[in-house]
Amino acid sequence: MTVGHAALLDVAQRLARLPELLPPVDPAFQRRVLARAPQTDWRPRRAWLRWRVLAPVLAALLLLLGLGLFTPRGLAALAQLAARFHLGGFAVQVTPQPASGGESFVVASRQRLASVEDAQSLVDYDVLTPQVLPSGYALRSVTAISYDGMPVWIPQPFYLDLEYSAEGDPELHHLTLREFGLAVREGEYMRRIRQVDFASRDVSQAEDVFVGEMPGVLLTMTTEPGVPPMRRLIWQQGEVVLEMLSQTLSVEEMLAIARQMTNDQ
Amino acid sequence: MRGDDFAELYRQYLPRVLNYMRLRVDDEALAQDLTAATFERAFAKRGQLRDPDAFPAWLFRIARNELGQHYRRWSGRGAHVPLTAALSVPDGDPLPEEEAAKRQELGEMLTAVAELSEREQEIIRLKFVGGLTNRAIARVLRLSESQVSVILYRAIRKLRGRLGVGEVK
Repeated sequence: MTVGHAALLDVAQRLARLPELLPPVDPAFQRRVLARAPQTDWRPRRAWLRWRVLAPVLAALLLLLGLGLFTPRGLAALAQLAARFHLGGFAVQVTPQPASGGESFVVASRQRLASVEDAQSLVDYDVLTPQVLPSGYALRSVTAISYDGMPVWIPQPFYLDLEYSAEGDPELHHLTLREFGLAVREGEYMRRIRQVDFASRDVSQAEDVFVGEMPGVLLTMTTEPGVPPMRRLIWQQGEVVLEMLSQTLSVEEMLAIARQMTNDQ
Repeated sequence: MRGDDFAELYRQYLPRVLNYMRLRVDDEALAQDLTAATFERAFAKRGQLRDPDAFPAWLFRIARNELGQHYRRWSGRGAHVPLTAALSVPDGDPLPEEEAAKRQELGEMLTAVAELSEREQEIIRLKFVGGLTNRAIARVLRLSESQVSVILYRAIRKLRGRLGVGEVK
């Protein structure tokens, strides 16, 4: 060992004597602190022990979740979960269409109208119509849908369907605009429907979107193989909830039409 | 330390934390209060301690937090923190010769340490008063172990000159 290292060791040894040079702990203080120490045995939790217990549980949960998601029932449950969303002040739930194709609790009556003006005379909100449409598209029909058996304070018709389609292939190239008026009156009190159920087939994808500054949702529905997916764009415009359905328009085209309707207000 | 209950850890680390506090604050009663607060906080937060081997570093981090809170409470009130607080001599009879010699040695060492940088002082305190390993010090100060070793080596070299160790007599 060199002289330098020996000197450093000497300094370190002197420093190590510091606790001896300091006054001893006051016994009264020591008793006071120790009295507050827990009397029960305490062992720090060991991470490996915790994980040894948690890991199998997590693995089992992940396995169940994975298996569940890849079954038809699991996929349906996920789709339902994804199909809950909010439009401004409204909670919206997309519910599965009854397998029988019938209505769940009320019977709808469909009233074919001659024009948008006729539809306007039936509702107390402003009927919205798109001013810009894809090339060749035109308004083909206006229908008012009413539900029997609903509480009297829910105004009827419950919604309007405005059908647009392209010349030549109206079966495929079509656009439906569905409008729900949600300001309802009961006696002297204004009430609002806070939850809207849209009957639907399975939702394969739900995506949050904005129509202008309004929050909305874009639903992609499950269809048969080889058939273009049905897209449903739902958003809120004032007291009206709008739903745009199309199998052929692109998402961008649907959003552009919706934005234009929003900007016109 | 594995398998020890908390009371045993109290007994083992109480003098170390108290001595550390004595070198950080200028009042024995305050050092005791901060030490007691450290152990109370440690007990309250014991569930957060994952690795039992990390207990010393964890405890001293709590001690430093308590100290930091104390400084913040007293900042702007002219509080200062002399390293030589432990040298205060109680009133009363003169000290015995042996005790006086210990105090002189302690005074020399603390005066020499006080001339080091704050980081060097802290590492010296944690190493030689807190009894922490370099790895534990690194955890407390959020440094690498090699950084701690280098700083410690330099600090001891500086102290060698200031304490007159290794000089030709």
